[in-house]
Amino acid sequence: MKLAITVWNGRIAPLFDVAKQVLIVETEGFGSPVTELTTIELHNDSVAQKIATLAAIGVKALVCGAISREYEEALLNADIELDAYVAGDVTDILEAWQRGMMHQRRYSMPGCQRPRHRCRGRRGQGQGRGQRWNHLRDD
Amino acid sequence: MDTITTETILESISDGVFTIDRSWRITSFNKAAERITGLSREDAIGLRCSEVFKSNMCEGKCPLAETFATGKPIINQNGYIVNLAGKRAPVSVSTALLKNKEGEVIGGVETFRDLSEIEQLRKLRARNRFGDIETNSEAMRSVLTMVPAVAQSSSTVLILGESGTGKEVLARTIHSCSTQKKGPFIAVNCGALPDTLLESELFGYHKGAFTGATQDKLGRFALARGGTLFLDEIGDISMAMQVKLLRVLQEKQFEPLGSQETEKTDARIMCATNRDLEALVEQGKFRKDLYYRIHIIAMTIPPLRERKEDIPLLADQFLKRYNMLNNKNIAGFSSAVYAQFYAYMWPGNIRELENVVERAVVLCQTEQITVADIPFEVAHAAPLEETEKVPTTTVSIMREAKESTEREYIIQALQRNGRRVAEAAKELGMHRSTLYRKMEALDIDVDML
Repeated sequence: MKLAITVWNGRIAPLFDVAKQVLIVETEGFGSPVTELTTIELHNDSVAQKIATLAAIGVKALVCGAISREYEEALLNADIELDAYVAGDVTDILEAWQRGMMHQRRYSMPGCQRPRHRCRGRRGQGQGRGQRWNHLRDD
Repeated sequence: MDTITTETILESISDGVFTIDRSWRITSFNKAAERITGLSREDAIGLRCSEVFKSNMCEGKCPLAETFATGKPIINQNGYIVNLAGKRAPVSVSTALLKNKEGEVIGGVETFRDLSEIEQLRKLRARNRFGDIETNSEAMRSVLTMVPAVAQSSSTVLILGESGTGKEVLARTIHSCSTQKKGPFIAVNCGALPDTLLESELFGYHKGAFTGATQDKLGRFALARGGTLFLDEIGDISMAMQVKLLRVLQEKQFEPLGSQETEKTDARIMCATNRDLEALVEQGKFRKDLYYRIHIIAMTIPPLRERKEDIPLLADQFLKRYNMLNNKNIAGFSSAVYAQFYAYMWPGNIRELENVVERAVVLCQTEQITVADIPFEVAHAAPLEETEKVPTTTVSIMREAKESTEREYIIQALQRNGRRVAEAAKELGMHRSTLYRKMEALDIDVDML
């Protein structure tokens, strides 16, 4: 499967909406070694164009920093699984993603309890709302 | 100013303020910054500003990066931040360098203002709004004030105005406020159809009425029952059609083509035209009786060049619409574009403005529409039509007349008061120094009087 990670200065780009560089990671899935790494440039495109670019290259999951609602909904509609509000060095994040550790607080942006994980299937099971907001701090 | 005083001030102001060190980590974060970003200072301090601020400016357009690079402050750079719920908040950002006593740069300070409320106010800034129509124009306001009363009446309405001024929009607005709002709004462009087609469109036909009439068809009068029938371009219909229309308007009944039976209609009739009906009546091209039948309530929509104060409102509306339709996210228009919008005379009125905005949205590749994105004729419109300019000769004649009268009054006042400036000033109701200034400007020498 293909995973996309937005990159800026070696870290996760702070805002997906304007992220220009995306690392595309080809892997068999969680725990499997990375088979290919490529970087693509995203231009200042519209929401639809940006998501269409990712979908066209077969991206199934995205790890990014903050993201505004319209982009988030468009990604879910394109069946792309999302880990948002993630912060950290790209290599650390990629390793955490492969190990299935993305729910840990240390990978989240300030103010979040954990990165926000969303995917279309879980929405359908009525967990979407909870999934959507549980990244916010409880305290 | 001591540290405690500075902190007290920073805590009490409504603008968000944070400072960073040379490694982009936040060193202070005031109360307003906590409120605007939704983050506590405990969460923010020590972390990278880009991951705390989450702005569209961080990657590539960071004002602090520019200040570090140039040494110059940035004032009011507009952008947006995204909060933890994914909501965008417009902000205005200013930056400056932080230096120690030796003058060495030790970091930067960023102040940011939440523009959400201003944005809300901007949306509500139209002084008058009725349905889809919003306006800041006095001329348009007087039209809109008629709408509630007109909507409640069943009288025929005649909407006048140049092509593209929004006559159908006004008709729809009246319909949506009327008692028959739940009924249909049926619009027919009378000018677009030849007589025979218009007749079958308006009145409908029965099977076999003419070759090709293989089944019954309801006309627009029948379809508009319980609602409104809007007859656009009424000034363009033939004399023969005018007679048929007059009968329906007078008797509220009609016969479909090929039918022997009379049908009734209770549709509210609204008509519109961009032609001068009165002139057409005088030329014998429009029936006088039909004119008076439809000219019960007349509403005239001013052309866009006479309501230029509405240009920003309308341009914003169209920008939102075409942003959505084109999946774009253009923030607005540059001030130079607005200047050209004001300068242009808009012969095609609101429809032309809509087309210009649609074109600009399609062509624009940046976050703001610039003059390069608008058509040549708009981009090169002269600031004012020659006819609108006040002739320079008129201005100078006015000035000369004013100065001459003023001079005469002052001289007379001085003569009456024995050339005493203070007394003359008192009489003229001005301060002595003002009178001295005026005397100098008007070349009045008290000794020569």
